[in-house]
Amino acid sequence: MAFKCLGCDGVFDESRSDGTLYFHVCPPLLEARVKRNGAWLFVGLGALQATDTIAVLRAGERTETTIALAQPGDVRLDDRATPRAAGVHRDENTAPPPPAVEKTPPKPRAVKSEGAGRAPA
Amino acid sequence: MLYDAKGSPVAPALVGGLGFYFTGEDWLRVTSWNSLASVRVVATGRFLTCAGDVVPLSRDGAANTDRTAATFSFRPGDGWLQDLSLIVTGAAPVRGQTFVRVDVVRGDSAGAAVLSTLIQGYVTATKRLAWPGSPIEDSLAGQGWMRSFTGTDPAANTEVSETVPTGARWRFLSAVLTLVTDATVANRSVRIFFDDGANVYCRGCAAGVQPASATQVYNIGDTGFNAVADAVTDPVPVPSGLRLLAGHRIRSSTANIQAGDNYSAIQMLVEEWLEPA
Repeated sequence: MAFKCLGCDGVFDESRSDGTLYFHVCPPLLEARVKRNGAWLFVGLGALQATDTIAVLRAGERTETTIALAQPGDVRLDDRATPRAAGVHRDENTAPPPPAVEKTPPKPRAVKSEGAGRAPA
Repeated sequence: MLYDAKGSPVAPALVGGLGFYFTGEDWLRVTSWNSLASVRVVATGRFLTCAGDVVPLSRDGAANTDRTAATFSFRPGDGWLQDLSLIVTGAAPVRGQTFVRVDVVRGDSAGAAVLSTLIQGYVTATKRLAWPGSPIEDSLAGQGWMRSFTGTDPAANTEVSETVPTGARWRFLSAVLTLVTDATVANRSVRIFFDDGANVYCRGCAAGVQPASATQVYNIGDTGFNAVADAVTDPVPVPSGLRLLAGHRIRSSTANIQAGDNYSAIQMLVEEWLEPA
């Protein structure tokens, strides 16, 4: 039986003809970095506007252009793929058991040389 | 019942071998991990009671289909296990799909203490595992299940992404996907990323670019060229034999992807082992 994911609109069969199940996981969300109204922001591809400014790689150089004036050989830069929001992202896999973590940390181990020491970053 | 000088039970002579002694508190616990529908694991064997009778054993239990553990337990009684074998009914898994383990446990509750393991390995509907005889096998050893499957067909302007399911380990072999580009003038460049769920550890990139209003098939594998010129198939070379743990992903990342660009569902060939979580 085919299903459509309401998070990503992907379509998949849950049961395969070979008798196995398929566990759908949403792909990351694609966004392009644009300058709009003077500010840089990330927008979904469906929301790109011809007047948006994007950074592109042109003849090996990073440059900026509006989408309307982009050339076929330009490579749009700074796209990002981010996880979907928790209420949207669907992962049909069975949750694995939580890892066993000791509540009390082990004794500090002896290192070869303390040097100048260290501090939390 | 026969006893030796110290009061311990003694197997009746001329009836059976020494076997594996069970007190009345010891249970046999069969645990299975499985990825195929309708699988039932059947345990059969012979048991020598302290009264000197050889009685047959036969129990079965359903396996889960999501690679999580399913168990059934039974108490053979007081005496000696002579032999035990496992087989699958209800479906026909191949090696790599149904992994089983038989433990001797004290008690039958969740906190039962495991005392010994008699059988561990992959079982099918025709290849049994047996005690004594079968080696204790790691689920990641040997050949896995050669699995060809179709992934999710993503919506337009969405990248392809497939995740190794919980309880599995993959060896990536090859994949094919198709990209149909919209009319927006720009050269798309298809890259394939392998990541651990967040961090990319391997990238492959198609040799050519794909213009607007075109359909191109991408062949992802360890071959980086087409031996014969092919206008519609473009190779994406990736290292051979990549091992992917549960939660790792293979996904596309397309330079210049546009709002109307549309990928097909990916068709993948992987070798899969069960890796109990």
